[in-house]
Amino acid sequence: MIKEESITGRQLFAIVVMVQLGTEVLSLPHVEADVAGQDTWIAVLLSGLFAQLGILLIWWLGSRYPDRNLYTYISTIVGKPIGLCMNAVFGLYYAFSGFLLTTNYADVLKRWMFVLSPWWILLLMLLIVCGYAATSTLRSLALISQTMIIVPIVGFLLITLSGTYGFDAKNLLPVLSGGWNPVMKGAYAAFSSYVGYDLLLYAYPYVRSRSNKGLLLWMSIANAIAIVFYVAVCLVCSTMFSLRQLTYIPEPIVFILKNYQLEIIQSLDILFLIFYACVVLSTIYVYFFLSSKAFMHLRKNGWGKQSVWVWAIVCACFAGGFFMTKRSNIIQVAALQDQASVYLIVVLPVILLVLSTLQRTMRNGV
Amino acid sequence: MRKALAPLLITCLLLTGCWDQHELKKLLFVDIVGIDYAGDNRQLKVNFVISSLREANQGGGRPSAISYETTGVSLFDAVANTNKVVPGDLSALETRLYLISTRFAKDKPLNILNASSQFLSNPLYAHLAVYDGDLSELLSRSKIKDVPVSDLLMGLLEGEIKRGKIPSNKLLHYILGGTNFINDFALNRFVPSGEGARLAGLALFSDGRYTGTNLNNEETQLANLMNGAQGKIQTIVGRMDGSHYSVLVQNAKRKFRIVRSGEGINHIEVSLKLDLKIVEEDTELNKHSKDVFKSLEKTIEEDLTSKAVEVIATLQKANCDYFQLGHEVAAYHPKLYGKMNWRELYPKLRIKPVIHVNILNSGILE
Repeated sequence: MIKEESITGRQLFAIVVMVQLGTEVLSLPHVEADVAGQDTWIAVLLSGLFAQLGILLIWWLGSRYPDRNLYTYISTIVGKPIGLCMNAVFGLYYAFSGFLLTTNYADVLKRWMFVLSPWWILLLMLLIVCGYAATSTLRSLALISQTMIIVPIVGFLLITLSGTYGFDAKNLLPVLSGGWNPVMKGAYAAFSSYVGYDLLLYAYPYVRSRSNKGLLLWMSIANAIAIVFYVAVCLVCSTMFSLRQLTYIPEPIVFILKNYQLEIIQSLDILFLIFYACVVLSTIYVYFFLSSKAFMHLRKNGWGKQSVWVWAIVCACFAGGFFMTKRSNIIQVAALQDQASVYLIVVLPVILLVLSTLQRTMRNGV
Repeated sequence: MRKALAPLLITCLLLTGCWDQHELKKLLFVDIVGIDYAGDNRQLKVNFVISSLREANQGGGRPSAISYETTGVSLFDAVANTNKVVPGDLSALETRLYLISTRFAKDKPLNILNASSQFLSNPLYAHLAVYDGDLSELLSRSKIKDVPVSDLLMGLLEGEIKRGKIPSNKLLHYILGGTNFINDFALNRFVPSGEGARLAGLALFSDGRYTGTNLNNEETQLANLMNGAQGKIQTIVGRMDGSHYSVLVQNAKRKFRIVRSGEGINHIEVSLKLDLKIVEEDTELNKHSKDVFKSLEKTIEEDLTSKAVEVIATLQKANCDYFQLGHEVAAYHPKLYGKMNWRELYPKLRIKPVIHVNILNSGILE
C-alpha cells in the first residue's frame, strides 16, 4: 500500500467538517425553497440523518479492512479488473467534484464581486492554490483544515446573529403542508451538501484513534456540526425571507449579510464571500487529493507521483472551466454530480459490504 | 521549492485588484434615490442625491449633498443616463433611503424597485419611504437649515425608529416578493413642512399599491405597537375626563387570537399588553395610591382601545392587512384559509382590539 502519514481523531473531525461545508451554505435555502418550501429545515435535517447512516455504512465497511483504504481493498472484494476500473471512476468523480466546486465558487465571485476580472483568472487563482495544497499529505491537509476552522465558526455566528434583525416564525408554518413527498425530495436535493464524509473511505486506516468506536464518534460529531450549520442557515433564511424571495435569490446568506449596518465595517457580505474561500478551498483540495490517490492506486505499488496527478487534474479543470461560463450549465452538471454522489458513496459501499459479507460467509463455510 | 512557491501563490490572490479596483476619489456615493414619474407618461424621473465631504483636508470637513435629476424607463436606464452627464461612478454602497412619490407609489412601485437588488455592492439596509409632495423640489435643495437634505430625512427616520414610534421599512423586506403572501404594507410618509419635510405617519398599501389613505403620527405609533414593536419608552399622550395624561411604554407584548365559528372566523382578537410608566396626569401634582393606579389603568385602557378601534377601521377601509392577519390565519388554520378569499373577507372581518395596561410606576416621583 502507498504510504500515508497518520492523523488523529480530532484532525479527522476538522477535515470532515471543512469538506462537508461547501458552497451549499450559500445556496442551500434557495435550492430547497423550490422543492421543500417552508419545510426546508426538516428536509435538511433528514438529509443529515441519512448522511449519518452513510457514515455508519462506510465505518462498518472500513472496519472490515482496518489496515487498508478503499482503493486497495476494493480489488479484493470485486476482483482486480473491476477494482481498478472503480478506482478510475473514483478518481474521475473526485476530480469532477473539485472542478464543479471551483467553477461554482468562481461563478459566485464573478457575479457578486469581480465583475470585470476575466473568468480564467478567477479559475486559475483558485486552482493553483488548491493544486498546491493537494500535493501535500493527508496530515498536512488536516492541519490546514484545523487552522481554517475558525472561518466557519465566525461565519456561523454572523449568520445566526443576523436572525435578530427581524424574523417571522410564521414563514415556517404550516408544517408539512404538502405532506412528506416534497420533504423527501428536498432531503435528496440536500444530500450533496453533506457529501464529504466519504473521505473516511480513504482515511480510515490512517486515523490514530483509541478505538474503532472513537473514530465513529469523531465522524458523527463532524456530521452533527454540519447538520446544525445547515439547519441553522435554512431556519434563518426561511424566517427572514418569504418563500418567493428565496426562490429568486440564489445566495440568500449574502443578502442577509447585506442587512448588517455597522459603523466600522462596510459590506460584510463581500468580506464573508472572500473569507469563505477558506472553506470552499478546503473542500476542493481534499477532492483533488482523493482523486490523485485514486489514480495512483491504479497500480499496486503506485502509478506516478501524487504531484504529477494533481497538476494534471488542475490543468484539466482549468481547460474544462472555459466550457462552464454559463450558470445554467453549472447547475445542470451539478445535478449529474448529485446522482453520481449517491451511486458512489451510498449505493457502492452497500454493494461492497454485501459482497464482502458473502465472501466471508463462503470462506467460513468452506 | 515549495516554500518559495508559497508567497507567489499568495500574490496570486491579489490579481483581481488589476481589474475590479474602485478608486475612492471617483466614486459618487448615492445617499438618497428619489423616484417619481416624469410628466404624464410612465417614464421614471429619478433623483440621485450624492453626499460628499468637502474640505476634508482642513479637519472635520463640510458635508454637502448634490442632486442629479434624470429620466429613464427603469432604474438602470436612469443610472446609465446620469453617467452621461456626471463625471465619476455612481455607487449604491452608502444608499440609505429610497424615497418614492405618491403618484409612483400608486402603481405597484415594488415591481420597479426589484431592480435595486441588482446594484452591485448595494447594502440593502436602505429604508423605503413615501413623500407626499414635489419630490424633485425637495431633493434638489442641497441643504435645509444648514443640514444636508439626506441627513435631515435620515435623521428624522432613524431617530423615530430608535424611539419605537415608527416601523423600520427596510428595502430588503419588500423587494423580490418579500410581501408576497399578503401584499399589504405601510411605509413611513414624509410631507412638506416649511422649508423642508416632516414625518406624517404611515402611507397604507393594498395589493402593492398606495391606497391614498394614511395613518397620522399618533395612530402610527399605536399601529406599530399593535404590529409587535417592542416597548422603547415611547410617549403616549391621551385624554381623560377633560384633562390629559402622558405615559411611557416600558414593555409591549402583542398577541393574535383567531376565534373560529364553524367553517369560518368569528373574529380576530388583537391583544396588546402594555407596561407603562405614568409621568404626567392632569396639570396638578398628585400622589399616586394603589387605587389611583387601578382607576388610571382602566381609563387609559378605554382611551387606547377607542384609538385602536379607529386604527383598525382605517386599515380595513383601505383593505390594508398591515398586521398580516391573513398570514396568521394561513399559518395556524391553513385549511380554513384555503377556502376563503382573504382580500374580500378582510374589510368585513370583526377585528377586536383588547388592550391591557399595567402601570409599573410613576417615573422617578411618587
